[in-house]
Amino acid sequence: MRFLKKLLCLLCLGVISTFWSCKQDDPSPSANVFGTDQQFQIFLAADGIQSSRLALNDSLNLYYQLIDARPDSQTININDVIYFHFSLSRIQVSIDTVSLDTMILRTVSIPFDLTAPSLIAKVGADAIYPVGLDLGLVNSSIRVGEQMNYYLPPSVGFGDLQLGNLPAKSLLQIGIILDSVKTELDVLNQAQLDINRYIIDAELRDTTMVPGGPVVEILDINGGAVYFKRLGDSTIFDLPVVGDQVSLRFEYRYVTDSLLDAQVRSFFSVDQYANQDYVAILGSNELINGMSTGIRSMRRQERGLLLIPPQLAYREAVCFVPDLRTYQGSFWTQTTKTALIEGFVVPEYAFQVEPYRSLAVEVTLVNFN
Amino acid sequence: MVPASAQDVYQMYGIYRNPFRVFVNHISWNVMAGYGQTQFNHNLEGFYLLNDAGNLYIVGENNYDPEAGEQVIQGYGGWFNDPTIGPLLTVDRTFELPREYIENPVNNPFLRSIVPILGEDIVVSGPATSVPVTVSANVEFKNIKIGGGYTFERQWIKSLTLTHNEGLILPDYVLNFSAVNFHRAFGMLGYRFYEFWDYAAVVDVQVGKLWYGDAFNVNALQGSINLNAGITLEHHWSEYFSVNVRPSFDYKRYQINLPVPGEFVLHQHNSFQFQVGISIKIPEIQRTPYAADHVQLKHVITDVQTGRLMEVRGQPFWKKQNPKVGENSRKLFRYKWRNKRKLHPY
Repeated sequence: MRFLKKLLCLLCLGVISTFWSCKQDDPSPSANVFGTDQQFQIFLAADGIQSSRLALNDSLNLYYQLIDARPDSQTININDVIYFHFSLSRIQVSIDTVSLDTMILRTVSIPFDLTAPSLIAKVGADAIYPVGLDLGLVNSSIRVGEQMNYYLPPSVGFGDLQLGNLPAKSLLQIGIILDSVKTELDVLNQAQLDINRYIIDAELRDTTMVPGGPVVEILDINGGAVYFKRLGDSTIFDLPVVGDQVSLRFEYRYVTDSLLDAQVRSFFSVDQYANQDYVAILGSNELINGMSTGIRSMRRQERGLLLIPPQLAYREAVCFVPDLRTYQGSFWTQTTKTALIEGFVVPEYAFQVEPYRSLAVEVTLVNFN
Repeated sequence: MVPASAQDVYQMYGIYRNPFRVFVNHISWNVMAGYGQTQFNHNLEGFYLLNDAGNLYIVGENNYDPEAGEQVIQGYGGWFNDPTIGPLLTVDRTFELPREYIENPVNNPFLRSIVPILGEDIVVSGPATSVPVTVSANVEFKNIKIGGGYTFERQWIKSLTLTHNEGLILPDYVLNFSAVNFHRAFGMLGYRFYEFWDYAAVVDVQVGKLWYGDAFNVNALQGSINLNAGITLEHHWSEYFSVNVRPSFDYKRYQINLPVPGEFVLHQHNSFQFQVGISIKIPEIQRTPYAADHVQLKHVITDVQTGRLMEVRGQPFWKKQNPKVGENSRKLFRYKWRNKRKLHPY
């Protein structure tokens, strides 16, 4: 009997151990990529520059470090539009298990390039990616002319995205040199002036130079104006109204780039609907305001040019750091773009239009009903 | 002269055996426990999958028109175990040029537009581990076993993986439970097809009904017949006791009826199980009641109380009942583990 008891005990033990082994593991506590706050302070102090931690919440270790102070210059406010240059580095923090020293490795991915055009972004409007940079800019009181380093954990950096030579979950150091600050109104007014300049420079009003109709200014109910020039004649004189289903073919480019850099058009241009109808309800969210307004002045089967200011197009869009134009293909591959779009992080148009761009859209109103 | 059968011997010499014990001796009582690996498979053919920020809803093909552009539709959640009507979802809403501008574009909740994915392009699967415990009884006649039993199965499952055949990345279907119990009653039929010394192999089939645990909405669930086929490898320690190993394949499927009549999702959760257990027959004769009786084999004694002849055993039931010399005790008493360090083991 003793043996039988042993056997039964073993059997029970087996069952219990199986149950126990199947027990759900406790989730591991999230790793703090910075190490402790103290360790990171030591790392930053090694540069000989005082650093600050943004006290946004306890779990977000977002630091900034003022490199070049300009206490008398202009600071920024939420919804201001800033022009800046940037650098991008990867920070690796490790702790020596023997000496417990904090070891830091900083790998510069993109150094400052002050010869490149400034990037444009609206701050505090969730229009900057990575989002940690927006948080940093809003909360660090950076001033024009100053250089500031922002240290972003992956949660407000690129997260799981592998970007260029930056692996997933990288700790980032983004350096910012703030070139200038404008109000959004100033930027939009400037865009309107740029359109007028474009009309003059391209001699659009001169029908001998650019055949077609005159340039017509159409005021939009939302503010701003769309400029429309008829490019081809139409024998059908009916116009679409709000609610009509319109079939369009179009191509677009930036107003400024069409004069300065024709190559950009091939990079950002959407040719998808150049030879294929885009069907939309006029006045619905299927068209930006500028196109809806402009198309209402077009006749059936007519071709026209619409010059649309940013307030009737994509306004602040999204400012990416590193920028799309320079780092297309190296950092911003189709995979990373798809990941951000399908992850509902940014809208698709963010990869098609840069911030505060006026659009020149060549539209053919194929049909409507 | 025709030799007397075993039954005749008892009748011829008037050897008493308890009739109840003789009857019960024909029944084998089995207890098994082990490990099971289940593979859930789900068929979403006829549906579209809607991914709303990780919440996965399905909608019937008739309720969504892929040619119609932006639509507001209502899908079903909980299609694994407890179907519910999901929220109204806007589908096919995109923000590509020349569509509308959106304020605060980064991480804006309105970006969560949904693009329905055709269900037939998706393979839904998920492994689950389980611990089945089976209690059964059977009788055996001419190598054929007939019986029935009950299985309790505790199953753990974390999430289901959705794989798109064109590589679209889909989130896991996270379940609203982590463990569930299954109960199964079955009848069984087996055939002992192989015997070698103390070993035997039995092929058997269990046919029964499965009851799903609390995590499942039983009002919306329609189960099918449960089949379990396996091979039991038996090591007979004695005629009353054997240690069994049983690898088996368990076929199970169920149907979850969605709130709209006529729409349902089919689920399969077949499993491979490996169980170890024991099988006991209650001996038809008792052990000798006399402490001084050291006879090792089955033998006949006279019951001092009744004066009847009765057959008794000389061995515990898990040992060979009629051992040859040293067969039950191959190691000398003094060399047994518990006596190794004793100067006087006897």
